[in-house]
Amino acid sequence: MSGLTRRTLSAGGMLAAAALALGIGAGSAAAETDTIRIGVQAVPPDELYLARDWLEPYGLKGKITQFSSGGDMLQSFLAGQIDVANGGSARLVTVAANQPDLFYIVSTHQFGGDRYGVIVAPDAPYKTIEDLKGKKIGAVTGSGTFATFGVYLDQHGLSANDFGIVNMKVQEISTAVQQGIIDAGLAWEPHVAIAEASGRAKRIISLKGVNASPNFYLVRRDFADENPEAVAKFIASLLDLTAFVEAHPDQAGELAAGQVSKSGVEVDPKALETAFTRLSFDRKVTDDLLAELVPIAESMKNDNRIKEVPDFASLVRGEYYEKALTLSKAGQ
Amino acid sequence: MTDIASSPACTASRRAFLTRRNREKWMAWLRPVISISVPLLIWELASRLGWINSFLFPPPSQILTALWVQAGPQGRPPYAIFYHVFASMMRIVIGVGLALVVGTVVGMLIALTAWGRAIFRPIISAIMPVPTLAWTPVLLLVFGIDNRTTITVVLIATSFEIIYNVVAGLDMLSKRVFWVARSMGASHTQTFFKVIVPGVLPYLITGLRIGIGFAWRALIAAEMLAASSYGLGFMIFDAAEYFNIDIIFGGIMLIAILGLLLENVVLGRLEAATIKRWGVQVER
Amino acid sequence: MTDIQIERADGRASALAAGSARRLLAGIRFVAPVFGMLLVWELVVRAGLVDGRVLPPPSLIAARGFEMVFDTEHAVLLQHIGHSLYRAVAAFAIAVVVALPLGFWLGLNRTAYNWISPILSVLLPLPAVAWTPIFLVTLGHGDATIISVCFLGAVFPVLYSTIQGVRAIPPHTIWVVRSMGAPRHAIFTKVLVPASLPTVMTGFKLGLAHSWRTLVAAEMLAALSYGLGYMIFAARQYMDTQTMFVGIVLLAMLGFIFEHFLFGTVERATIRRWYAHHRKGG
Repeated sequence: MSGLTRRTLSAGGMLAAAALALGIGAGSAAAETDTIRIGVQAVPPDELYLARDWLEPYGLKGKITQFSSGGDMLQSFLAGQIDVANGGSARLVTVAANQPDLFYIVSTHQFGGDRYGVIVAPDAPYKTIEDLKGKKIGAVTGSGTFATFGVYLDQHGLSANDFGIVNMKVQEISTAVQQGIIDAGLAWEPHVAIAEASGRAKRIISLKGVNASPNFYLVRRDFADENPEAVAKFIASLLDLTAFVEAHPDQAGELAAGQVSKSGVEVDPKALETAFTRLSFDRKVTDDLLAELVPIAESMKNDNRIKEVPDFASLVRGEYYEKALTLSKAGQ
Repeated sequence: MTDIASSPACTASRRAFLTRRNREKWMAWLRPVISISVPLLIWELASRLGWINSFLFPPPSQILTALWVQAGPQGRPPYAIFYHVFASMMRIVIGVGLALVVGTVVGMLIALTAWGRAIFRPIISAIMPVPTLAWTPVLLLVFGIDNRTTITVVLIATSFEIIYNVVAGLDMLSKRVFWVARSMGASHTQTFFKVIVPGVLPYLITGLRIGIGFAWRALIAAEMLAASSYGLGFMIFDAAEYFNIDIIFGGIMLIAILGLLLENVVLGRLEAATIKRWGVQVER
Repeated sequence: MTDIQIERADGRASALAAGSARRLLAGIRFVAPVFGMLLVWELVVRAGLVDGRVLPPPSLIAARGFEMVFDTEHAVLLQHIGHSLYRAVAAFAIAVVVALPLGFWLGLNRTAYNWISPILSVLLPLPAVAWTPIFLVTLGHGDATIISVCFLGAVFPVLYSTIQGVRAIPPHTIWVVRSMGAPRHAIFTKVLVPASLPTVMTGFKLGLAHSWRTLVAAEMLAALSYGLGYMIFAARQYMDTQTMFVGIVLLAMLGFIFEHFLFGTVERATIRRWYAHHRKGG
């Protein structure tokens, strides 16, 4: 009974806190923390990040929350639920244009167009994008995948209006393709590789070379300013992970597959190894990668979705990365 | 009115009374306007002056501008708002239309036949507590991402209320009324049109009004979950993907206004008309 | 709230045994068609008339339910149920705490009512789920958003019923009691509360039902890990219709318990206390 009342009270407190947060904008906790709240997605490097405690060598605790897509994660990042998120493309541009004081860009997460693919049912007759004209394509419309797909369509003289775009959650896309609910699906790794490995679908198009579509690591400013050490340690753990994948892609695949299976899906480790080969993740934020955001921002400005093209370079803080290089166990 | 005025005292008091009534009438109009616009004004100020985060809570003027743009040729796609409103309305109208047919038939079976009562009552009591939206994942599997899924959600949300009211209406017409009508030589058709229809119609309308309230709620949520390409629920879900907060708020406002119109104005009128025509009011 | 009641076995005059026999019969008459439906369902699927992957037979649904309780780590199904119950009840409790005082104030104060009711009438037909995207960007994913959405689902029925219940009390009743020199708190406990109670209870019932019904959608949109709504929605990913139906059946059962037994009991306990002697007198 008392347990119940306490829970009810805590819920009440939470709501009151929420009401406060609405006005003030939630801030994160006080000085010198030993815990960092990290948001991850269901993508191979993140599954691998979950599979092992990469922060442990640095004496830092990670409170990791997994989200279904970057949109969900950035929502929670804005709400102050997590300190670290990753994001790219249109959503990053929107947040950068509207909340430039909220966060720093500290590192890259992953990039490379090959991690995006168009899948169809195994026995489907479609081979090229032209074959899919007028057909239903499932996609996560706010995602970087979808933005890169838009560029790809541009290159082929097509537009999204030539297809029936169906907005859905990424996890549903491969089963929807298999069931014939949609004719094709646009997804990112590992969903493409898993769909292929399980025989539910086949990849007919890779968006390799269309653009790099970089995803960046974002850290809330209030957190980074108070805990610079923790941010550097976090990036160091990312460097370790990169080194591990490059040295042992097979083990990385197995670890990530083991992690995915915890959510009830059996995945072929080979599928995830394939997925790892389809993406690049050098952690340094380069001007070239940042420059990829500018055309996206410009087209959004033309659409009146943002007022100004944000100055992305002003959001980058390289010092955490530099420090991480000296900290990283793998680098030494 | 002028003829009746005989003594000056009476006219004066009457005039005072009239102006007071006039003022009350004015206030009845003015009050909602003021009480709704004042919070909006405070919101506008708070957002413009930076008391609240203007990205998460854009000022109402910006929200209205965003809606205006989306309703025009500059929208994405052009005239998007009209498509969204039309899609939601179409789903409501078709779903509720189907529910009227299904609900009336099942309701009559329950009320008028013993076997209908024996079979349907327990089954309905067993199914009714399932929140309508719990069916969406199953419907998605059966129908796919399609209008059929959202329309079926509307159908489910509305049917139970209509069934319940049809049964209640028919139960109120006690068996004696039938006997009286039949013994007075009324034919089957006459009994149906002169006794059953006027007796049940007010209940049906009440069921419809409550049912549409449920249906509107269920539809918006279903559109968010089973996101097809259009619909107001889809619109706010899609805007959340892109962090277009002004469109989310605009969508919420549209949903509120349309819900209000649907529940109170359209059906309120209909209900008032049936009460006037048949002179029966259902107490709920 | 709007269920089609089973015929009550009215065996007061007859012997107690006959009454209970009749009640038993009513029970059978209620249960038999449901079992009949389940049997037909099972046979139709087994006979291959319906695709068993879309509509799994009841036996497999039950088996899956048991498996999820006994054969998983930490009885995963119970975790889902626990999270859902906690969220729905917490939201309802907050709604009551907010709506009850507000409802009494608006019910008693005509001016306040006149000014605030337009806002309420705009918010009332607005589906609570529509707020989810806003809560997601301000509160993030998880319990805070889900409970807030369910709160909005529950608060209006409670508020509306409370206002109605209080406004329905004839003002002269209060005047009479006050003129007899009753202190303020006595007016409250002896007049306002008992007189408005039936309507307020209806509001509670509706509020909890709304909280429960809103929960499913909110969990589908905003839950990170547990909850029946989340469970049903996540099962879609693997075409796991058995798990979906386990969730649907549980939602029905819990909803039924909420709407009938829980409030049935509370209603009997409270309303009887105030009204039983009236009835005897009449």
